Amino acid sequence: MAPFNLLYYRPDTVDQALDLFRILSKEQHHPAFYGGGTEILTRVRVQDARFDAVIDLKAIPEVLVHREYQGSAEFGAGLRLTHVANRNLWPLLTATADRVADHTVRSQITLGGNLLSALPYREAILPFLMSDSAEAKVATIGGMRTHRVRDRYDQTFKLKPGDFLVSLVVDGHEIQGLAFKSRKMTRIDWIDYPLVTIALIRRRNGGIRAAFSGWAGFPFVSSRVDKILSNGRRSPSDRAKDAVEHMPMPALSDTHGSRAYREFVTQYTLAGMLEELEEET
Amino acid sequence: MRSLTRPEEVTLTINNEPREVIIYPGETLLYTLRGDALGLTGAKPGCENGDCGACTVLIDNIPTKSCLMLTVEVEDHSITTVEGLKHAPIQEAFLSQSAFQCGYCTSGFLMVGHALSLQGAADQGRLVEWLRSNICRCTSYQEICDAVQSVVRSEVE
Ligand SMILES: Cc1cc2nc3c(=O)[nH]c(=O)nc-3n(C[C@H](O)[C@H](O)[C@H](O)COP(=O)(O)OP(=O)(O)OC[C@H]3O[C@@H](n4cnc5c(N)ncnc54)[C@H](O)[C@@H]3O)c2cc1C
Ligand code: FES
Ligand code: FES
Repeated sequence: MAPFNLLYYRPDTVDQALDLFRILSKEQHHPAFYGGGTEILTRVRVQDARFDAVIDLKAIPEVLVHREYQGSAEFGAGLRLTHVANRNLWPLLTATADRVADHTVRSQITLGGNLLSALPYREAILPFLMSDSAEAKVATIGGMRTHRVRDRYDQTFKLKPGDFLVSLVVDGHEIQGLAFKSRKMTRIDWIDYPLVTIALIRRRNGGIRAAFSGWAGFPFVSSRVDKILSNGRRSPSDRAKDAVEHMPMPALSDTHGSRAYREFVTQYTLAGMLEELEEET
Repeated sequence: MRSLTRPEEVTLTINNEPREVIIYPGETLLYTLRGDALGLTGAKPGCENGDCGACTVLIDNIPTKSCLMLTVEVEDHSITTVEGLKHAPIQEAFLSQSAFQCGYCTSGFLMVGHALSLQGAADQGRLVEWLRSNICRCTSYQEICDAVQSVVRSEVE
């Protein structure tokens, strides 16, 4: 395989990265911000991407923060998924991120790259979609902006061209003590894209929240599904059946599984997870 | 700021030695290692898509799929290829456990096993999780697992 036709830049500061994107775009290049590069390189290899320049964000200190401070936890977009899992500041994030790809690839994939992936799965985003407090720090030409993740998410996390994700911040109260379950179901192999990945949390008021990846062409949460799942007077299997019937969109049919199979696996998995979650709490 | 926009001579640290080589900006580490200048063909091209692990090398002792890494990213890091192992315990274990047949996947598995052995203790779950990163199409995974386990265990003891 010959070298790819890519220019490479590794800025040291947020401003350098923003300026580079602007300058390269003006020069008629097609720049991409570069995290772990696992998706960019595989897409460029099969000529599925127009990028001809990459701006590697991994030397920018703000993109590598990984800390607890003032009652919150902050995760830099440039953190590798294995670092996130090893430090385990947010066990639910560990549980979802630690099932992406395989161990070696996870030590290359970054959190930001997974959240902004063009692929449908983006499993590491599930905890952020379920969180009330999760905020994203976004670098823009006008300065650093903070947005609630849920407000900026509509099938994808919305960024303007030339802006990039710097880090994500989650309130410590949401992280601590929330009961959760996360399960990835694949067709055959342990390592594969998900047939469906489900994350559940039980909130302090007893309400259940769920997030799904693999069911549709993008990860999603649904208040209607949450309401069904939160009705503790009904059995887990009844709630799971009802939830699957009231998903906001039909299940995919693809090489991983037919629609009917996905529905069956989702219902069955969801019922088991609900039962376990409620037994434990 | 580091940038690479045309071919340039760089110094890489490979198997504890400085090696000078001319690289292109969009060149993967797999390509650089196997090129005529370095001739380190132990890392194998398989899928070149991150799936098979045949191209695995260590970057700062962490297993890395070299088909998914640009060479310019690892200029300031330590690269270990299978050529740098030199009768490491993991190699002896693969021999004694007959953990290969055609051998195409073997260097990748050796690098994962070697990295794991450098980490000290590892339980069975961790060992399996690391080895799941690689695919073998001929032999049984049991022999590979046994070989790695023997080295990890002997490190612990
Ligand atoms: C073998 C293999 C198995 C995989 N299995 C799974 C799986 O099971 N589940 C799953 O969810 N995914 C899986 N993937 C896909 C993988 O998660 C994505 O390719 C990965 O998330 C990309 O992360 P990266 O850091 O390598 O991103 P990159 O390749 O660097 O970038 C991906 C995209 O995100 C953009 N980007 C990166 N960082 C930022 C930032 N900070 N701000 C703005 N934009 C940014 C890039 O411009 C690019 O468009 C797999 C990939 C491989 C190679
Ligand atoms: S060749 Fe790199 S993972 Fe297959
Ligand atoms: S020994 Fe042939 S692929 Fe593994």
